[in-house]
Amino acid sequence: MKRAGTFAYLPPLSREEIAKQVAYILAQGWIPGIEYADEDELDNDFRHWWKLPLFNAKEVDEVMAELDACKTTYPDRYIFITGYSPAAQHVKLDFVAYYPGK
Amino acid sequence: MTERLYDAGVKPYSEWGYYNPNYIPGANEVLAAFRITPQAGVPWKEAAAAVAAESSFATWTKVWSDYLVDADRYKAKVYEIKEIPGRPDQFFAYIAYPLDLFEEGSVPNLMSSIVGNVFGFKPLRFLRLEDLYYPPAYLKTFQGPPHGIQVERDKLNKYGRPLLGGTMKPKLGLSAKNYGRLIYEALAGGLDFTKDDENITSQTFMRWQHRFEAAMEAVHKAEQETGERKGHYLNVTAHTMEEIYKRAEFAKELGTRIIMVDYLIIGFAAFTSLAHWCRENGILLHAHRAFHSVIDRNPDHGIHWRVLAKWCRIVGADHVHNGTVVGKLEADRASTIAINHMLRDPYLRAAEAPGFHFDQDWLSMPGMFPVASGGIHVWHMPELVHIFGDDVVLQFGGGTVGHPWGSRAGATANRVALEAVIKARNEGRDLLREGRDILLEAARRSPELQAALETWKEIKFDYETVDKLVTA
Repeated sequence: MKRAGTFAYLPPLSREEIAKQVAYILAQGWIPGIEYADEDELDNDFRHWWKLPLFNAKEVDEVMAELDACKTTYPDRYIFITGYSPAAQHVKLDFVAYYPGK
Repeated sequence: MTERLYDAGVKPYSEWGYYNPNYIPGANEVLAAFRITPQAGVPWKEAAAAVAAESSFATWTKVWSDYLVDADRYKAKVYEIKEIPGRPDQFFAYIAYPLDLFEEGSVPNLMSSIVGNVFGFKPLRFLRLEDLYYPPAYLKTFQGPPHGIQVERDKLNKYGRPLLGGTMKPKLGLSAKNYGRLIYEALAGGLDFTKDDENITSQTFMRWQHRFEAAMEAVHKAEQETGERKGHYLNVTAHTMEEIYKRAEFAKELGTRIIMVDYLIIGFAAFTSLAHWCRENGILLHAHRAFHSVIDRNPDHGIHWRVLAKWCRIVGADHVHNGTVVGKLEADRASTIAINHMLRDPYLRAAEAPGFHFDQDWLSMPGMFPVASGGIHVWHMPELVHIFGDDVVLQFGGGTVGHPWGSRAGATANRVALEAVIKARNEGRDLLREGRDILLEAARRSPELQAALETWKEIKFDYETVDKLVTA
């Protein structure tokens, strides 16, 4: 079985659980981002951006709405939520928020 | 001839310019904190001055050729002495060393001065180097970690959690094929890294080429199966530098991401060479600290681990073993946590890092992963994440291979426990208070974790620490 992201070995996160991780990203002052990938791209350094990192997002709901929009457009892809720290200049969290068909 | 042509003879070091409590160290001087236990009857001032003198410029007697050099450029100076509460027999001495004493980028040269002959000096009963400060101009002559934490995470494509490793057991006797199978099982089960034991080089039961080939076949197979990037620390420790390079080159040829070395055992010249090789070749370097207890365990004599660990960061490795705090190996808890900060952070504040005497600005030198290894298992996970945070390698050797269903299940159990704890922490849960509940909840959806929790329920390691933290 192919694995990816920070929570690769946990059961898929529920909507409520995803929202909690997004809240954590925002609380840390990190920039949330949404990326999608085919199964054979899961381990690529460069997955596909959904738009750009969500530089202006302040609320969990804004990020969840973008996640939903990405799902509607790419229902057959894996969709990741990332948290990027400009202070560390680095990705700090990177988990699968949507598994195709689940 | 009876005339005295210069002021020959012996005189107390303290009257010779090596002791000056009014001295303010310059911005570019190396500072050392020593714990000194003098022989009975030796005044503190004289004992401290002797350490400064013998570790810098002085010989036991005045010599005529002293007049040919500007001695003040080379004399180390004791600038402060501090009592240690409860230890009337010893004291801290702070010594400033001029930069002219040291060759650029050379830990061997630094050692020859500061931890050289002076440790056998007769007027001292014991001598211990407790901390060493590197001024900016000197620090910048060292390479530092070949890649560092951020680059390693990008190379491995792993974020948001500690990395998980495991040492393959038994330590000795497995053939390369058996060994490769163990590696494959552990990596396919969910570990990020597996590790050679520190005393595996190229013995009769498993020669190094065969070990490297089998290990890398296992790594590649596990990567294909899981879609994740994996690594096995191929130990290149050997008896000559030529042999070390030969093994490192072969490891690179096989596509390894990481190699390992016993950095104190091969010595600092060899370690520096290998660190440079790793930077040049894009290979991560895992430093094992075997031998450190010989040097650092005696609380009164030798070199404290925090100094050996600082040398590891300035010379350059991407991982180094530090204590686990919770496992089977001893080390003072506060001291271990402070050393983790020293290894990882861009700036160390001594006031917040018990055991350290000097603030240290690491400038642009990358941080490195501390490795917590030895006697840890799934039940320790909440406390380990609480103590170490994300930037650490947690190594579960026995805690993986010792799982009742085998190492694949052991690896999965550790990975599930780790991710459940990280997820809970991000949700704002208290890991120390709710750790048990978090693990039991996760185990409901993971039979591997359930079995691991049942197996290691009762294990504890509560021994008194021998080398306790001493502060002024």
